[in-house]
Amino acid sequence: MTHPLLSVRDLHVEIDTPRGLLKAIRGISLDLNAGDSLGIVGESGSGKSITLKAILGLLPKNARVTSGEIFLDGVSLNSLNAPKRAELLAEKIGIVFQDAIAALNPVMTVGNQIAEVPRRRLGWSKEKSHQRAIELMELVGIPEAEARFHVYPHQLSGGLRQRVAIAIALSGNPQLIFCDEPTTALDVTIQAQVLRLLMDLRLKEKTGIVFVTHDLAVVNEICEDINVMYAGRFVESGGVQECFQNPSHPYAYSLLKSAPDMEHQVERLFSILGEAPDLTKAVNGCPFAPRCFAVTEICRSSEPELRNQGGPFSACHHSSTFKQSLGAVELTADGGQK
Amino acid sequence: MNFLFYAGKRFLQVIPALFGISIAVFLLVHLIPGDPADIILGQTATPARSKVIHHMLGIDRPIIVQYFSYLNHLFHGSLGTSYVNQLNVTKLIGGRLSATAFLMVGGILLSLLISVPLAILAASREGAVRDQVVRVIPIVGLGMPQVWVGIELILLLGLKVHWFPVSGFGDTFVQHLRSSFLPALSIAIGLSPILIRSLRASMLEILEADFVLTAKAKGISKARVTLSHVVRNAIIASVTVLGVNIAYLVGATVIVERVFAIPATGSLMIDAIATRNYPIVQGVTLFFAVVVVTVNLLADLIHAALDPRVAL
Amino acid sequence: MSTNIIRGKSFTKKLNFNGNGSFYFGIGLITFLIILAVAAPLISHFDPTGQDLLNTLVPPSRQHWLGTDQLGRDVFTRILYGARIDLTIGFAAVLLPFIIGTTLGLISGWFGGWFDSLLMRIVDTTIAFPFYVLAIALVFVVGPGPKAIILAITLVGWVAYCRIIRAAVLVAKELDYVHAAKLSGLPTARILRKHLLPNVISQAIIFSMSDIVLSILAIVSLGYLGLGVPIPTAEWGSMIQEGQAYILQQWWIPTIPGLMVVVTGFGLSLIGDGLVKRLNR
Repeated sequence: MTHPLLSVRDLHVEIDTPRGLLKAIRGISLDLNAGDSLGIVGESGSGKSITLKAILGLLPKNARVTSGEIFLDGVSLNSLNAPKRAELLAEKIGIVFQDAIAALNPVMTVGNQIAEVPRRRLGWSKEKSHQRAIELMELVGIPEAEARFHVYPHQLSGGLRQRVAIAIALSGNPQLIFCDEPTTALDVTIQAQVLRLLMDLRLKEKTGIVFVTHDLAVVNEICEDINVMYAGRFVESGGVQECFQNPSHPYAYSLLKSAPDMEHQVERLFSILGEAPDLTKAVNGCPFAPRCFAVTEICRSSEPELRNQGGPFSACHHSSTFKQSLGAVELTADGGQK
Repeated sequence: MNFLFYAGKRFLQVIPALFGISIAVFLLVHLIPGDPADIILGQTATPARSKVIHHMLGIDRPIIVQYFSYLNHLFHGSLGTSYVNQLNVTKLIGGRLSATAFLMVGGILLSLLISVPLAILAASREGAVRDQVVRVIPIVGLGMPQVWVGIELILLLGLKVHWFPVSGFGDTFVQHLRSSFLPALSIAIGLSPILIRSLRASMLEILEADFVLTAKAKGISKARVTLSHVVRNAIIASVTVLGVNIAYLVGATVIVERVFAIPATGSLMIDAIATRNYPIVQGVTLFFAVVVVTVNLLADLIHAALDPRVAL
Repeated sequence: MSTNIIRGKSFTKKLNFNGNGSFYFGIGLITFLIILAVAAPLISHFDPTGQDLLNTLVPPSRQHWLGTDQLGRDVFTRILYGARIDLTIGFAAVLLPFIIGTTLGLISGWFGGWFDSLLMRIVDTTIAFPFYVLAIALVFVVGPGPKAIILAITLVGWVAYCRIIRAAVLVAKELDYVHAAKLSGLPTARILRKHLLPNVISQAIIFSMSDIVLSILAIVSLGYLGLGVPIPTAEWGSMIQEGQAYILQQWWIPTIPGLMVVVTGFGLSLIGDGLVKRLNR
C-alpha cells in the first residue's frame, strides 16, 4: 500500500497571547508525495509559518496543537514518543530558514556544520563526512568549496550563506525540504539564483519541497502545487498553472492581481483593502468577507469549506461566479487607474 | 495586580529560601571535622564525659531529628548557646545589633548619596566629558579593597585632620554616628563602583524611553521632565540595584568593622573562630542570611509600591 | 568580504583587534603584573620572609626601594612576592565556579523542568549568604588558607555564571540554527557543546574579568582578617593589616599593596570592557 510522504489531517493550533487565545490554524489538511513541490502562500499572520513549526514540533511555548494528526511516511507523529518523533523528523525533513545569519552557528566553520549530520547522526567517518560536505557545497553551487569548508558564516555573502543553509538541510539526505521564506532576506538577483538552485535540486535529487512565502511569483517559479492560506485555513488549493490562470477564490484572485508582474513589468493593478480578521475572536462567516469585492449575504453568516467546485479547490461560496461582479469594483479598488 | 496580592505572593516566595538557608547553616556545622565535645572539655576529655556532652548537645540523635530540633529552636527565637561561656547566641547577636545597623544604614545612605548624583550627572548627557569621567570611577574603583579604603580614610580624615574617631564605637548616639561615619563611608566607596555602573545604565534607559521623549516632544521643559519622570524612576532603579547588591554590602560591614575595631556582629563571628565556638558562627551566618532576605523583600515591596508596572 | 576566503578561528576574527587602546592597555598592564610576579626573584635578591631586626621600619632607600616593615623585611620584595600569591589564587579561584556554573546553567536552561526549579531554589539560597560571611564560616570549617578561599569562592561564585549562562541559553535555544541542529537529529550533548556553549560562553568570559577582581579582593580581605593565606607568607592583605599600625609614619607600607590591587582591578576592568565591546558584536 502506498501512502503519502507527508499527510496532515485537520490540524488546529492555538496560541496564548496577552489578548486572548488566538486560533492560528483552524483545520488544515494536506498530502505530499515524494518529489512534490508545494507552495503555501499567505500574508503574515495567516498561519503559514506556524503550520511548518507545528509539523516540525518547533512551536513556541505558548502555542500548541489542539487537534489533528500528522503522518510522516505513514507513521502518525502522535503515536511516537519525543525521541522517536525527533528521529523520524530528522530522517525525513530538512529545513531552510528565512534568515541565514540566524540559521548558521556563528562560531563553527560552515564545512563542519554541513559535515556534522553525516558525521554525528549517520555515523560516517571523518573523511567521508568531509567529502560529503564538499559534494553538497558543490551541489548547492558554492565555488571553491574545498577552500570555503574552513570559513565562518560571517565571512560569506548573504547568498552563499543561504546556499550553506540549504546544504545543511540536505546533509541528512531528507526526502522533503521545508523552506520558510528562504529568499525574502535576499536581493532580487540572488533570490533568483537561490530559487533556481532549489528547482534544480528538486529535479536532480528528487527532494520534495514545501515552500512557505508571501510572494506568489516565487511559487510560480518553483512549485507545482499551491495552497493559499488565509486566517488559519487554506482557501484555495490546486496546481499552480491552474490557480494562476483561473483562481477560484477572491482572495487568491486579489493576490494575483496585486502582485507586481515580474515578466511584464506592469505596475500594481489591484490592492486588497482592509486587514485580516482578529483570530482571537470567533470567526463568523467567511473570514475574507469584510475585504471581498464579491461579498453577499451568505458570506457573512456561514464559513465556506474548502471543496472541489470545478477548477482549483476553493473555500468560497461564489467560486465560479465572483469574477462577474468584478468589472465595477476594480475601478474603486485601485482608485480608477487601469 | 493588587499590591497586597503581590506582597503576599512575595512573602510566600521567601519561605523556601529561609528553609534552604536553615538547611545550609545546619549542615555547615556538621561538615566540621572533629568533635565539639573535645572543644568544650579541652584537656579534660574522656570517652565517658564526651558521651555526656554529646547527649547534652543532642548530637547523638539521627541527623534529621537534630535538624528539626534545630528548626524548632529557631522558631522559638533561639540560635543556640555559646560553647565557651554558655551565653545565649541570640542575646550575643542582639548586643551587637545596633553597631551593625549603624554601619548598614550608614553604608546604604552614603552609597546612595555618592552614586545617585554621579549616575544622574553621567546619564544626563551620554558621551559628554562628565559622563566619561564618571564612567572611569567604576573601572578604577572596582579593585579597591574595602579594608584598604578604610585605612586610607583613617589616615586622611582621622589621623591627619582629626575629623572623625579612628576606632571604637563610642557610648552615646552622637558618638555612634561620628564613629560609624568613616566605616560607613568605606563601605559606600567600595560599593559605589557597582552602583554607579548599574544606575547609569538604568537612567540612560529611562532617558531614552518613549515616555520621556513624548514629554520632551510635548514641549515640557527639561528640568520638569527630569523631575517628574526621571527622578521617580531613578529612585525605583536605586532601590532595585541596592536590593541586588545588599548581600555585598552586608558582607562589607563584616570586613570594615574590623578595620575600625567596632564591636559589631562580624567581630563576634571572627572571634568565635579562634575559640571554635560553633553555635556563634552558625547563629551569625544565619542572622546575616536572614537580613539579606529581609532587605531583598523590602526592596521588592518598595519597588512594587513605587512602580505600578510590577505585576509578577 | 564575500569572495576573499579567510582561514582562521572565529574568535580572533570576532575580537577584531583594531582600535580601542584601553583594551590593549589593560592587557599590557596585567601582563606586566604577571611578569613582575614571575620574575620576582630576578628583580629583587631579598628573601620576602627574611627578617632583619636591626633594620626595621627603615624609610625607602637605594637598597630598600620601599623601605622595610616592622620585622625588617623588604617591602618592595614582599609586594612582588605578594603578587604571586594574590594573582595565582585570584585567577585559579574563578576556574571552578566558571566551569561548574556554566555547566549547570547550560543544562538548566536547556532542559528546564524539575532540575531547573531545584537549581533555582539553590541559587536563591546561595545568594542570600553574604560572601564574606560564608567565607568566614567556611574558614571556620576548613581552616584558614588558600583551600578555604577557593572553596568559598567556588561555593558562592558558580551562581553568577549559572544565571548568566542560563539566561543566555533561554534566548539562544530559540535561534534558528539551534532549531536546525535539533531538527537534524544531532545528539543533545553535541548541540549543547557545539552549538549552544560557544555562543553563550562570551557572556561568562566577560563576567569572569570582574569576578577575578572580586576574588582577589576576597583574598586580600580575608588576608587582612587573618583568615587568608597564613603569615609570614608575603600576601597583600596581610601586608595591609600589618602596616595599619604604622600608617602615620610609614603610610606606604599598607598603601602600596592596596594600590597594587587597584591597578590589577583597573587592568582587568579595561579588559572586561574591551571584551564587552568586541564579543557583543
